[in-house]
Amino acid sequence: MSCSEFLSSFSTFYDASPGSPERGVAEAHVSGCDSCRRYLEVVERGVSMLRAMPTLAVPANFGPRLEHRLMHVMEEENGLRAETGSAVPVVSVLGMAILLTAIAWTPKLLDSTPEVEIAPIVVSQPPEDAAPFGTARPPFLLGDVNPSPLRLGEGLFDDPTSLFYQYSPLGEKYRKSGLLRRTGLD
Amino acid sequence: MPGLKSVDQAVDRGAARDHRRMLGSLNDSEVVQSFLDGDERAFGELVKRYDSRLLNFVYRTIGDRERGQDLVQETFVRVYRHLHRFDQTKKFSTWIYTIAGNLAKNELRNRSRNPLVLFQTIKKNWDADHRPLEWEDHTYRPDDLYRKRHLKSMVEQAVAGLPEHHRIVFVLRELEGKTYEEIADITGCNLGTVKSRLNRARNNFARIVAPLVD
Repeated sequence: MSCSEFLSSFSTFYDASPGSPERGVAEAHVSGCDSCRRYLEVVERGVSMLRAMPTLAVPANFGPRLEHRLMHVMEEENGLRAETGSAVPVVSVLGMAILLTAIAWTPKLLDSTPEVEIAPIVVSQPPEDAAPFGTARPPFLLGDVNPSPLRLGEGLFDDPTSLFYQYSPLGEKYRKSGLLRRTGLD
Repeated sequence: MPGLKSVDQAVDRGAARDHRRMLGSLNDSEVVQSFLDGDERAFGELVKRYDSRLLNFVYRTIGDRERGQDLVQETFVRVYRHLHRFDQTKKFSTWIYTIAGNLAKNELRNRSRNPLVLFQTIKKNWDADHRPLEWEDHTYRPDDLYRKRHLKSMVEQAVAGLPEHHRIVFVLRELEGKTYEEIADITGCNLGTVKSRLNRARNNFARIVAPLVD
């Protein structure tokens, strides 16, 4: 075994059980090589120094702090279980939604308005006591100032002076212009 | 009646002491089963068994005492939350060390988020893995008296100076006494990688502590 082989396979024989073949080969090399013997000694003593060093002590507040954290964990888990396990909130919200829907739709569903069939009224002539059409004086009546009230039964076009009149106050002005539509009133 | 009250308290204390003694005599699997069966005190027994060991393991890995305590607390909280999912055919010790080891690795990874630190870490790890294994015979020299006086801090620095992936394996083997298979489970590596990293860790460690050893 060479020194480089010894170094590269050091852990194999170092952790091997006493009396194993790997350990035997390495021990044979170490017995004849000062450098590798020194290496083995440094590793062994270095590790024993490391193990002999005082270990960190667990601080006094470690346990109470952990208990406190675990209490929060338990509370969190119980809270989650309550939220997922209980269906009461869901059922109550659903019930209220159904109730409100029923209240909103009840008039339509229980509509008891009676349906009465009324015969159509056929009108062939105005009633006798109806207010005559045109009795209210139009605001911008031209031509005949006191037109006779138009009776519906007498024909719409029998008295042209009472039917055709200009609403616009500018009618007098436009009457003189070529754009004025002749109505037969002048 | 005060007398009876003190008697009741003494009886309670005695019962609690006996219960703790009973739990202390069980192995890890039995303690875990007791906890899963509803004995809350069994978790306290697990904490008592592993708090110091995990604290030293995490401290040696990350080099920060206060943060080490936080990570060990977090380890126990996770164990408490997920113990019902633990495969009881496996070793509890391996499981709890895996959780603590992962938290320590995450802590180290978070520290190296700074690009410069990340680059230095990557370079250091690459050098440590690819440098040829070498050894020079250091004999005791008078000017090493200073180092002798500061043996403790020098040895600690020797461990802290190891690359992270070597350090975890070295601490688990030399200080926690874990087997290669356990180390492979805890670190998520195969056996060959564990052996290789351990070999390099010992080589680096020897180079640093050699002047202190006479």
